[in-house]
Amino acid sequence: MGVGLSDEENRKQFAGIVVPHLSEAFAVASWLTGNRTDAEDVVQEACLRAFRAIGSFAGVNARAWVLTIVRHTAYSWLAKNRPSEIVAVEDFLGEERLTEQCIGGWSATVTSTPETALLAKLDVRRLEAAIAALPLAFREVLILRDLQGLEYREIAEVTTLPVGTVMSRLARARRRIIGALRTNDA
Amino acid sequence: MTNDSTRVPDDDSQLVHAYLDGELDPAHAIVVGRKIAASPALAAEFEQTRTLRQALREHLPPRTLPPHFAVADRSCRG
Repeated sequence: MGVGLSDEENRKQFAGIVVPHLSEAFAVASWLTGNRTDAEDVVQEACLRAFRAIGSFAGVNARAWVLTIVRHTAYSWLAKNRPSEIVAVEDFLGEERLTEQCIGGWSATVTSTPETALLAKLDVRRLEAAIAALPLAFREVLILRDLQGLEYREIAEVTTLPVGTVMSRLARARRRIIGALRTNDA
Repeated sequence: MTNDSTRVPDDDSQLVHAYLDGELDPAHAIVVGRKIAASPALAAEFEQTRTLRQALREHLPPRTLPPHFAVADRSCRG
């Protein structure tokens, strides 16, 4: 591939900066695209972009830098292949308010249910389906926090969102999953 | 929205998540911890979210990089 092929220094940098995070890049791409094959395409493209941009890495947080490129590549891929996934987040907020009115938010009656009951008989496929059903804007924050373990400020860096927005989307994502599992339980 | 025992302000609710994630400074963590102790609705959100986080960490199979990807990786390195 014609990307500064003979630049040995770039290759060394790529090996040191990007390669250590490839597994995580693949995991994030899998969750964003919903399957492994598409994730491979995204990671390949992200590798290429990272290689081209390796000189612009500021040397602070390689993990966040790599995941930023992966996320951006996944968004490009989705825009091209599944544009319906890219929906303004505002579109979900009205719908969410309606849902909250219907289920009464976090009602006190929930407390009387043992907290583990909700997830005790959980099967993995239901949990995965609930994650996959999340709007992309919420799903990415949940994945970066609860599966990859990034801190809020790192998620803010990767997604270019304010930390407060990261916090609110994460809370919404988790509530949606719990709500979905509860609904399926009924 | 009212602030009674069955509805909590969205800000407080979000802070429960930040509290669980260890994202609050000590002073705020103490305040939010007290609010959780005082509010059944916040306590419910706290417990359910804690359980969900654990389920996400422990039950989902990892998305591992396919073995053949190393070859593709070399090709993308040039």
